[in-house]
Amino acid sequence: MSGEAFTRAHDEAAEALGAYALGALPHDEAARVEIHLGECDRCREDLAALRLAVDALPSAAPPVDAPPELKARVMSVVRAEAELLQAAGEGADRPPEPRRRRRLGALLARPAFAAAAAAGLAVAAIVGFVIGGGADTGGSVRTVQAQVASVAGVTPNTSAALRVSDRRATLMVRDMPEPPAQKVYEVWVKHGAAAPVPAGTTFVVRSGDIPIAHSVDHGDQVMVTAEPSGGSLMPTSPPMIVARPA
Amino acid sequence: MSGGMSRARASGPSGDSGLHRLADEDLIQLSSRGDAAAFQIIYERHTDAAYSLAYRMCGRRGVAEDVTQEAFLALWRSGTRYDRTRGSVRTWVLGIVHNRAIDALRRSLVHDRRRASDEGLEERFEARERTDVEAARREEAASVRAALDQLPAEQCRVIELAYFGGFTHSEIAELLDAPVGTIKGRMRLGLEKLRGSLGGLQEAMS
Repeated sequence: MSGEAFTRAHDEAAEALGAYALGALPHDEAARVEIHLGECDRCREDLAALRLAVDALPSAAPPVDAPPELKARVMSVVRAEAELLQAAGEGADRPPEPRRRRRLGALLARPAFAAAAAAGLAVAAIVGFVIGGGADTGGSVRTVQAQVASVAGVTPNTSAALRVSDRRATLMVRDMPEPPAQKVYEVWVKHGAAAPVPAGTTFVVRSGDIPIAHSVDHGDQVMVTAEPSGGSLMPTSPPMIVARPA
Repeated sequence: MSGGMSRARASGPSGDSGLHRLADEDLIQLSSRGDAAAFQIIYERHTDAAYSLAYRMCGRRGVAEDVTQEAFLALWRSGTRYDRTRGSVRTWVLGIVHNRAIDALRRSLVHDRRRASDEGLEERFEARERTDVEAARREEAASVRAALDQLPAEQCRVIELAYFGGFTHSEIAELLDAPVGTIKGRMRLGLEKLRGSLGGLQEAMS
């Protein structure tokens, strides 16, 4: 950049810096200021000083108590998401030591999750419990209720359960929302701390019993995500259903 | 939650006295790894400030609640993006609230925004004072308001319209019937004076 062009950009940015710090510039003008900030130490220093003033402004808002029910709303979403993501992550089979749940950060950072988050999808957990009999006899049929994410279209009647008999599993879904356009539900099996593997099973039905092609061992998790038609080799969206056979 | 959810961490404040002793920066680290109890403490520490800012900007309880909820859920889902070299957790939280409130304002009608940015708030009610920390924040808030009041009226006005009203410089120029260049100049001058008069207070706040 020529000296003259730099000076012109500097003058424009310097004049607009207060408005920039206050968030009062239109996008195109803010973008020009940002380009100049990348080249000008003085403007960066000036901006840092102006930002100290801007950061103090929230204190000037008259203090008002947040309504208590807001906390209940926020925390119910947070707890449900923590539970669901933990079930999908590496730490799911371990005692609850937050420092060891390293995969969770990666999962949270995944674009698909971010997109779901941006869309404001709440997640509700359905408490998992053994509803089938004979859990104490090795080769018997076991049925567990699965956790279902409360995305758009999920109703109070929506449920999912997993029946396992001699490593063969069947997913029983009821009143599921239709998968998003151009997508199918894909089943995954997660063994221990390993990444989930495709179970070779996809479905689009809203209610039905779906035999899972992959074997399911004791301690495995079975998950369902929405994937592009034809299925994926790795999950590209947050889990819609998580089941942990007892 | 019970039964199969026994892996869920206890999230009530009573069960996490150890977490309560942690600094925000440490809690954010835990929260970004999915620790709901750590996140809850961050929420409890900053929710009143967040809601106050949202309410001051939006002027309606329902919108302020939505903005505050969106901001905290965004924070829960993006805790890994917090960079402590760029300011305190509180500043970061309030920055998210501010951005969300501006989004909400820019979706709404201009006359609503003007009302929200004016002095008269219909439903103003004072928060209870509960702790020493809050008492200190009250003092800090009084200092910031006093510093704003000391500014020349036209500088204070453009700062309030921009920050709390979410107006762009050209919208403010139109509102006040003044050239855009003048508005930008008042913003910068006003912020510089504010920074000067807050002085040592900034150190205490960070």
